Amino acid sequence: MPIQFEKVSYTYEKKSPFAHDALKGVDLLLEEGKTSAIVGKTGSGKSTLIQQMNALLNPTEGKVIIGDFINSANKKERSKDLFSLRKKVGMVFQFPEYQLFEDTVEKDVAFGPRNFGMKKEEALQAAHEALRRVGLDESFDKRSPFQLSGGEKRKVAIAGILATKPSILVLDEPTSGLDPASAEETMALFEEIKKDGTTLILVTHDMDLVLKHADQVVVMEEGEIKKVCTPEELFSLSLEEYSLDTPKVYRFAKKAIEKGIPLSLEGLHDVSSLAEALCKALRKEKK
Amino acid sequence: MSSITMGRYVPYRSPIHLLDPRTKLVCLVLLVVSVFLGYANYSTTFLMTGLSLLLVLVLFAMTRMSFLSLLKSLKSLWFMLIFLLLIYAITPRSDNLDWVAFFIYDYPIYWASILDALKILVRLMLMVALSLILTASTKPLDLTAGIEWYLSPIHFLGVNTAAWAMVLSLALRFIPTILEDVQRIMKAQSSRGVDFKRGKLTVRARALISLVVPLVVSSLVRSDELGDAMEGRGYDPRSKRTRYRKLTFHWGDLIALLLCAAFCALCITMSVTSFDPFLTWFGVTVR
Amino acid sequence: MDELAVEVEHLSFSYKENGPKVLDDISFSIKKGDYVALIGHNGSGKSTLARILAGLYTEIEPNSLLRIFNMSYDVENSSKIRGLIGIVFQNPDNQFVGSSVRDDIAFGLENRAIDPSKMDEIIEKSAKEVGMEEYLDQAPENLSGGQKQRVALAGVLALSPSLLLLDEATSMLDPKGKREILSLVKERKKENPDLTILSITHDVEEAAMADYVLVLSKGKIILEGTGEEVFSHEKELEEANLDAPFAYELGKALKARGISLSSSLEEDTLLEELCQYSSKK
Repeated sequence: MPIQFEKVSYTYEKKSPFAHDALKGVDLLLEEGKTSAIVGKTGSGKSTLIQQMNALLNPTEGKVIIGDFINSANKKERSKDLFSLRKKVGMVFQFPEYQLFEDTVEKDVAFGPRNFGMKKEEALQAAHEALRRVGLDESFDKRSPFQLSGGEKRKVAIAGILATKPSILVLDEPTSGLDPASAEETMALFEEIKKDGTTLILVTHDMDLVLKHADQVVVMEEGEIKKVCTPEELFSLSLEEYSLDTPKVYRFAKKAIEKGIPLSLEGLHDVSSLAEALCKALRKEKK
Repeated sequence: MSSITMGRYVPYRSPIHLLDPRTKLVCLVLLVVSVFLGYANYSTTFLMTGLSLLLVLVLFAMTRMSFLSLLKSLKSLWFMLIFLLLIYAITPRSDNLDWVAFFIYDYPIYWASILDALKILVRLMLMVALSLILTASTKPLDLTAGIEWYLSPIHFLGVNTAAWAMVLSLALRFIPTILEDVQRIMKAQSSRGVDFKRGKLTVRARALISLVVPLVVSSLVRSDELGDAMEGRGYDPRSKRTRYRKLTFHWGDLIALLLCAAFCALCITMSVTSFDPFLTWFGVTVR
Repeated sequence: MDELAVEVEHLSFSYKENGPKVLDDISFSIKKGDYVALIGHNGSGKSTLARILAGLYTEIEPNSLLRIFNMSYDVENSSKIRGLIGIVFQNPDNQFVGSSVRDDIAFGLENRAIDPSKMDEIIEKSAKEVGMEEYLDQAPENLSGGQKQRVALAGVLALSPSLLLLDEATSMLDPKGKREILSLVKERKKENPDLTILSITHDVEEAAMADYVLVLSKGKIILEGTGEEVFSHEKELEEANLDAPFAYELGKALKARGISLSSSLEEDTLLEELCQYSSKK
């Protein structure tokens, strides 16, 4: 499902002295089946933006079209069926392990499907499927989520969101606090889910993650969209302007260019492509 | 956010901010007593309440709190007014029963009931405003230090007053953090199909559990880590500590105390002697 | 012989009696003035180790030996040892005790019964060291995670510790916050070479800048040595769920393409070598 923002503004505590514009006339299309990364400083409006996607917040101006759901500032125009929207848009918030509450893992994962109207048996079935998908075997089903390790809890929480089979998945810093191997495993899982045609929206400060996983980057600043492009395009630019980090690969490549190695920034996306480009540049020099 | 800003410390250096918290606590008690005294008749009561109101408004302006926040906090008192009216209407006081305001079907509503309800309401309002002035002008830490000072006599009974004061100040420190947790968890569970606003009783009970369990779990984790952090920085409730914030009693404190004591004494004298200024000074008999 | 800041021999620990061993017969030592990184995956036991070193968990198994600055943790020494150790934890919110930056830094000073008339000076100095001098009267809810963590560092530095423990102090921060904390720690280290630092982390880039690296996996120390030594054991690291630093990975990828350089963990050294390589022929 694509998501279309049309002139969306959002003001916190409108009509009060604390009023604060978090989004200012955002026009944006997030394409179906792609991974869109949303980047920008803390306070640039990223979290307000994603909360419009499953109507946790309603725009104060403009509208967001999510499939056939319209989240509009105009109450009359706004679609009523919140449940089917939230079923389709899965939200993995930062540190999702803090939303676990049931006494067994399978019940917790089945909680979402149950809320969205599945029968008990069906919901458990969906829960088991989701648990296998995140790599937790049958032995976890009946355990208490509170006795698991941090990484396992995170997996249970993610399974709880996958169990409703969302067609859009919003990921807010999904790897924070995980060790490198678990982080990689988690991202590999989302890549796998993307293959089914799921649209991924990734909110992160980690530019290495953006470079590796995103098809499109949305740069936000003070509630406005500053740029929409591919990661390669963005990182080839000078990033100070947007106060973003440079991924390690690009940081090294840019330093190498400064030192006079005739390197091309085109198509750099990981360590091996950087090594390849460096080889090419050095060989060219030798000739 | 509005609920969090209420009752919070407002950083500013007004004469009230500079007072010793111990002084402010005594003054609060004196003024609350003054506000709740009864007088010879309604007219005197409202005259004195008017005086108190004036005093409170002056104090309020001095602390630089916004009147808007006062009005907001008083909004919830509407319910109280109706409730009080109802109680007084059902159980009218035995005197003053000749003065009927109106009839609801054949049931008489007396002016006395309305005035009594109004009287209580205004007094409650003044008490709330006075407490707000205290919390807005005093840092939580100073406030607990003040309370601790008054509790210090029971220290000799084997009660660790310093430890209890620490508990109190930590509770105050963590209120905003826990409110943030509440919001975060509610958003996460809403995304999993929980409706916190509507539904049958059983559904709402489950919704509440899905909020409370994670909240308790995260608070336990917080308190555990906080305990480690405090111990790691050398906190031991049994050993001697020094105090960064010294409570000092200045001339201003003496003046504030005298003024409040004088006002309280005036009110008490008038109340005890059933002094009626309208009759004594103007020779008018009023209700 | 070098003076030792930490000596650990045959240390084992479990949370419950006869429960699974979180730490299993661990031995290592840390030289005074070294910057040591202890890396390990989630649940490897590294945070438990930090808490034991800080004297927060005292029920270690009887034949374990634990000495800090040549003192063992017993009734007599324990408060003395604790006075020499400063620890910064992972969660910025859960270690902010005071209702303002000023009060939070004062908290540790109060615990050490320092004369209140000297506190302001110390507070201002340590706030300056972490670049938070303009936020002294701010409440924690108005600060970012990185700023809160800087305050936590200031609170610990105010007590001038001899051993600084960082227990995943940067793992909940964004990259900018992470860099700020690490550069502050490095700066402190430069100004006070005697300060011993043990940083517990799963960030291999941070480990790459340490003098010495310990790798903990499933309660055991599986590798130790300089960064170069440790990161050359790819198989063991992979089994311990850890990556190698970027510079190391790049060096390896270049080697596979016929460009052999020294296996440095520093990006700048690698770049230098690359430049020399291109000018050589």
